[in-house]
Amino acid sequence: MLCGWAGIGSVGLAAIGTLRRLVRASEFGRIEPYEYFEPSRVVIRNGLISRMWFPNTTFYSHSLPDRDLLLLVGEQQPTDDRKAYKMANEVLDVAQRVGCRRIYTSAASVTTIHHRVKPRVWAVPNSPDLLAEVRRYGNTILMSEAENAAETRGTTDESDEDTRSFISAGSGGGSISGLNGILLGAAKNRGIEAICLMGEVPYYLQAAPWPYPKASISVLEVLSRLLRMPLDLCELHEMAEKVDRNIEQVLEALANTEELPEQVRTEMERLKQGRRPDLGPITDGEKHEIMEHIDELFRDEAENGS
Amino acid sequence: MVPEGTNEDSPLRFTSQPRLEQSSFIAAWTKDTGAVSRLAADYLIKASGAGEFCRLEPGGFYPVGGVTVVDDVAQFPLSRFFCSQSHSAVVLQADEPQSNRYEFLNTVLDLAQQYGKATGVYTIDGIAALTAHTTPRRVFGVCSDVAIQRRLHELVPADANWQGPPHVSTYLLWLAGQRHLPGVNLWVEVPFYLADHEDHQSVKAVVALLSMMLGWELDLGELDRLAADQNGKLAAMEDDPEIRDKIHALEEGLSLNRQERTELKEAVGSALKGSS
Repeated sequence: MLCGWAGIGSVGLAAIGTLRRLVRASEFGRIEPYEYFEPSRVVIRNGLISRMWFPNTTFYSHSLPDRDLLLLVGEQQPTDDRKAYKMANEVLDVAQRVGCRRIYTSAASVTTIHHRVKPRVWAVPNSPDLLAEVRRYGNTILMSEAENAAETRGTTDESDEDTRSFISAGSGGGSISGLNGILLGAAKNRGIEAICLMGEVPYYLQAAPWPYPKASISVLEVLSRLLRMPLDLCELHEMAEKVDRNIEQVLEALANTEELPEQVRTEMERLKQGRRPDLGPITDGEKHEIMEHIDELFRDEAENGS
Repeated sequence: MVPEGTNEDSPLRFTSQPRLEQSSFIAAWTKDTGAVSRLAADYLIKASGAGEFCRLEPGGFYPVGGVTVVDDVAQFPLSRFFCSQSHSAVVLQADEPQSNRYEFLNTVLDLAQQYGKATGVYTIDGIAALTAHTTPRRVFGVCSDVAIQRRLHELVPADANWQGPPHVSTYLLWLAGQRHLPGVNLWVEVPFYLADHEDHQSVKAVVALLSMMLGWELDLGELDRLAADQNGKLAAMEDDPEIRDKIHALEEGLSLNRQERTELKEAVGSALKGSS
C-alpha cells in the first residue's frame, strides 16, 4: 500500500496522486470523512444547500504483473491526535482485509537543502530488518546518515507550530509527526512492515502556497525503482520548473526588501546564487525572520493570485 | 439524571424529561452578528414559557483549560436546552462549538428527535450588510429540501447564494437533511455598524417571520419597544451632517469606503454606548 496525504509542499499527495493517474488505478473505497474533518465548503444556490464538501480519503487499486498495489490519497489529515490514530487504524483494517504486506507512506522532510539541488529521500522503516533494504533504494538517507547538524522534520500540519517535531539529524533518532508517523507505528503494532519516504523540502519553502514537485519526483523515483515500475514523470518535471521560476521571483523580491537585516540579506543572496546555505552564523531568530519575510511574500503572491 | 435510552457516556445532562410530539427545534447561538440569535432565543424562550431541561457538557466541544473574562466576569461555554410544552418546541441556546462539530451537532439532533420528536429544525443568525438601520431588515432563508425551498420563497427573498466554509447553522441544517429532518436557516441582515451591538430591529424581523412560519401568535410589543428605543438613539446621531450623509448613502444603496465605514461605526458606538 502506498499512502500520500496533504502536507508540506504537497509532497506525499502529489507523489501518490500522480502515481494513481499514471497507472490509472481504480477507486474502490473511501473513508467516511464526517468524524475526521470539518466540511471544507458548502454550495448554496437560491436558498438551497446543493452540496457540502468534505476532504476525501480515497483508496485505489492497481495490479502489476508481480503484485497488487493499494493506493491511498488523503486530501487532508485529521488535526486531532486521537482522530489521526483512529484513521490510521481504519486504513490498516482495510490493508489487512485485502492482504497488504507492506506499507509505504510519503511525505516531506524540511531540511537546509537548496531549491536548485535534487532532493534526497529520507527513509524511515518501522523495523530494523528493513534498514539494509532501505539503504539499497538509491538517493535515500537514513536519519543517522545526515551530513550536517541540519534540522529536519517529518511533515504534516504546517498550521500547528506545536506539532512540529524537529530532530537533530545524525543521531539516528527523531520523530515523524502526523499520519505518516502514526501509520508507521500502528502498523508496527500489528506486525506490518512500513516505510516512510520523505522528500526533502528547503526550510525556506515550507510555508509556500505551492507544491514542491521536486521532492515528489524524488519519492516517486524511489518507488519506481523498488516496484520495478517505469514512470513518466514529465508532468511533475514541468511543474517543478514553474515552481522554480516562482521561487526565484520571490527571492528576488525578498532581496529588494528594504528593512531586511544585513545577515539575512547575505543569506538570501547565497540562496539566490544557488549556494548551499551555511546556517552556522545564522541564529534561530534570524532564521525565523527569514521565514517571516518569505511567508509575507508568499501571502502577497497568493493574494495577488500569481 | 440519565434518561432511558441515553448512554451514560452521553454529554447530555438532563434535569427533567419532557416528552413532546411533532415539535419544532430551534437552535440559536450566544455570539452572533447584532446579537440576533441570542436575543431572538431569549424572546422565544420567554414568550413560549419554555423551561430549561437539559445541558450539554462542554468537554470535547470547547476549550475548557480555563475561563475567559469579559467585562470583569468569568465566562464558560454553555449549551442549554429549553422546552415549551404549550408551543411544542425545543430551543437550544449555545455557544458555537469550537471542535468536534460533527459530534456536537449530531448529539443535538439526537436529542431533538429522541425527546422532541422534532419535525423541523430552525436556526436564527444575523449577517452584517451594507445597509442603513432606517431600512427594513431583509431575512434570507436557506434550506436543504426542494419542497421547503418553494414554500420558503413565498416568504423570503429567493437569492441566497453562497460558496465557502459552512456556518455551524448550515452544517446543522445539512446534517438534519441527512436524517430527512427538514429545516430552515434564517439569516437576517444587520447594518454593519450594528454588528457589534444589539440590533433589536433585526431581532424583531426574524422573530416575526419565524413565529409566522411556526404558526405561533406572539405579542411582539416588547420587541417593538426595544427597536423604537434603539432607533431613537440612532436618530440623535444624525444631527451630525456627515453621519447623516453616510446613512443616506446607504439608504440609496451606495457603498462607503473603509474610512467612512469606520467613522460610522465609531459614531454608532458612541450613540449606543451603555445600551448594549
